[in-house]
Amino acid sequence: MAKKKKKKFQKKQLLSLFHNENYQKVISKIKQFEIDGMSDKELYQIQITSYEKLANANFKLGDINRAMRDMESLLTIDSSEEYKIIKLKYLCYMEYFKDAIIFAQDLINSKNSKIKKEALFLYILANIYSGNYDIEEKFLKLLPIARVNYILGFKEFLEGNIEEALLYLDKCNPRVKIEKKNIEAIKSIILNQETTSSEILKPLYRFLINGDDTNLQNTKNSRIIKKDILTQFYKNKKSSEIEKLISLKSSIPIETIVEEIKDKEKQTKLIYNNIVLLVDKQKNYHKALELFIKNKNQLVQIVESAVLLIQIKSLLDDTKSDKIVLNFLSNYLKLHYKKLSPFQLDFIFVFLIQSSQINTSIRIIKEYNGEDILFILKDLIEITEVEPQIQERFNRIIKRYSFIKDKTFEAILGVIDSFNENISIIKSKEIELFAKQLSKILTLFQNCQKPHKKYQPKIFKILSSISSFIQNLDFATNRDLYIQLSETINRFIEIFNIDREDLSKDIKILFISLEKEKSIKKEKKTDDETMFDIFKQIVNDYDEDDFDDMLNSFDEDYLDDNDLARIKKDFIEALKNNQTPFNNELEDIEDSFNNPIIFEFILDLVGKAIEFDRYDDSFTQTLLDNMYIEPQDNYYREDLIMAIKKYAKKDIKIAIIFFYDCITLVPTNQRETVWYLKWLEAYLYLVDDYAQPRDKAFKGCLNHFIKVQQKKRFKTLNDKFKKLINRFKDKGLF
Amino acid sequence: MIKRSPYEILGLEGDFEFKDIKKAYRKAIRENSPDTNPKQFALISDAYDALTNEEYFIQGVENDKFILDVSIEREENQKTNNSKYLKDIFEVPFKI
Repeated sequence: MAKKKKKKFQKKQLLSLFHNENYQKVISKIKQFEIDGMSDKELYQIQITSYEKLANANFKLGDINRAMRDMESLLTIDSSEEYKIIKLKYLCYMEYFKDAIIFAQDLINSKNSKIKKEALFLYILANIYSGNYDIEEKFLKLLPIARVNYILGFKEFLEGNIEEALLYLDKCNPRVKIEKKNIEAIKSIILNQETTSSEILKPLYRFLINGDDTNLQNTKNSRIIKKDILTQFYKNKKSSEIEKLISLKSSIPIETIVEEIKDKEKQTKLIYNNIVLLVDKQKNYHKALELFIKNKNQLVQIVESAVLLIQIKSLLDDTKSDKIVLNFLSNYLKLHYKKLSPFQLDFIFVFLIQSSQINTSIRIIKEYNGEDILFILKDLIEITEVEPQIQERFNRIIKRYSFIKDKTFEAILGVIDSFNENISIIKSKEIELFAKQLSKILTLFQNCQKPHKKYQPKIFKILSSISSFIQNLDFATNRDLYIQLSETINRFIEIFNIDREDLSKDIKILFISLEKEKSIKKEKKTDDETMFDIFKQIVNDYDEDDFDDMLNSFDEDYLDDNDLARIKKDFIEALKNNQTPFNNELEDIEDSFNNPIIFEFILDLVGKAIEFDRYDDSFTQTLLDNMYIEPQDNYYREDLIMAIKKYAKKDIKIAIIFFYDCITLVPTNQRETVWYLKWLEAYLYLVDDYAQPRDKAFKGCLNHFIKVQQKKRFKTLNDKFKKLINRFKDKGLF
Repeated sequence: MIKRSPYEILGLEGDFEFKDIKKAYRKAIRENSPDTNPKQFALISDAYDALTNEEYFIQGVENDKFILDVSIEREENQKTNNSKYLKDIFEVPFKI
């Protein structure tokens, strides 16, 4: 029977496949079709190139079996030594050493010296790997010295003579940089040393260094080893993650904690710590809340957990989680109620009352005797009658001072001030009603027993606010209220023994009104309404609140310029007198001033420390720690550079000392970032612009900048990099 | 700022009550007087303030986070000597 004739395939189509590097298809079309219009020579060349490229690509990907299959196919077409040597290499990589030794016989006698050398190298190694360590010297003489040393080193290594192996490997000094790196990698692996891996290393070395199995040759042995090594690296990775968490360096995936720590109590503590780190270090508040909620059943066991949860919630604008959070706090109080101080409970109640789930909140607050907080924030403003039990509660609250309750009273201030502010748009009926309520509140004040002296400022603030409001009411029709207010004020003037000269303007005006028997309209107040905002929302059926604002309003004692000058003076005095200059006052500076002022202050102190010989390696860090400043924070980074540049005009030496301190304080894991390189760049130019010595610090910064930019290739720094290289290239620095 | 849990510093755990904080504080300062152990004494005083002084507590809520002590006995990272695997898989440091 006549052989079936092959269908035809166009040369143009085949060449198109070839040019698109689709070599597998090229081979398959050649096998399947007769290529129309292509000469045998062309066809031969295309086949050879395709097989060679395919073999090489498969080899690089680690698929040694496919690479060998392609090479075998190639050898059926062209059995030249050039391809045989590749087959010999593949045989070695397939660990078919005996076959390799036989196959190499012809090649080691090749007249082509390059082929001969390659064949000899592989032949000797195949022998060594097969356990035959007798190397013929005449062969070694034909090889480059780097390869000879490698062979001898590797032979010693296989025979267990590590020291000798290392000596040979030390001498093995290939010319090519990549090969040098590979030799270094082998030495590190043999010595079991930590080393950095890189993509240029051979796949096996990279794999043994960091468990990255990309492009590792897929052989029977490698498959076995892969399992071992990957398990080991996975285990080590988990271990170092736990270490990171225990040493409070950073948060880690919760799954790692659950997998690695089986002791439930320790696991819970670590989950808690992990969330703390997420908040404090990573500033990832959403994730922190998510993890908290996910692990709430465990975390509720920890007495510290409620404060952490409230801290997280206060950093977020979130009401979705309110129901779960309330449920958590209810369970938390069940477990820990007896452990908490009254003010800790009040703190939780104040948080609860701002929840969107107000009815549940009130239930919980009442369950745990938090009626006082409810009274101040809710009942007081809604008061219609002064019943004896209300007066009793008020008396009890006002008699015993509480910081939180004192701050909570600011809510009522906010409401009164709001009336003062918006009096022109409030209906007269509402004003009337509010005046009646104020009268009830005044009754409470009038009849209360002696209040705690620490409440004095708050009481007078409230009375002053009412005095301001009352001026909006007609004297004749509200005479009783005017008199009631003045009597109340007089009572507290007496109780607290106040000098009338020290009374507020609004109270003084009230007394004038009484004398003249008429109201005195005054200008509107424009005080900060933060607390009112909160309270307004509370009275408006407890809509969403911003607890953060409330916490912030607790801290109104900002420092002024005089305070700053005094703190600086005290600090310098302490330096001069050889005393510890660091104190608690330093920590308030950060809240009270902007960054340029803060950095100028710090730079002045660094200067003084140097002047009085009190400066050492830890000075800057201690100062910054005391001020709760981490210059690497996003908030400070830019301002730091500006402040230092400005200060350099005054004193370049102090500027660069402090700048370098800041640079060295940056954690290692942040030193390959754009902003850090920008710091280095600013430092380098500063030193150079002011002709300061190019010392070790300078060279270190320069080298780090170059190294990191070459590695990371940040696009935004490309121009800066070129500029920097141009600036310093002729100065023998690199 | 991250600080150690004041409860743990005072050695409070399990089913204690608020009144026990003072007892724990007294016990702790007896064992760590300012003369013999000034650093620990400062920590203990700070912890006591955090739990009993209202203003200090509020400041802490604004500025500090408390971390818990967890001691984990862990094996050192298994630093297996991977060099033995060099013997099993063929690789050469040169371009061949």
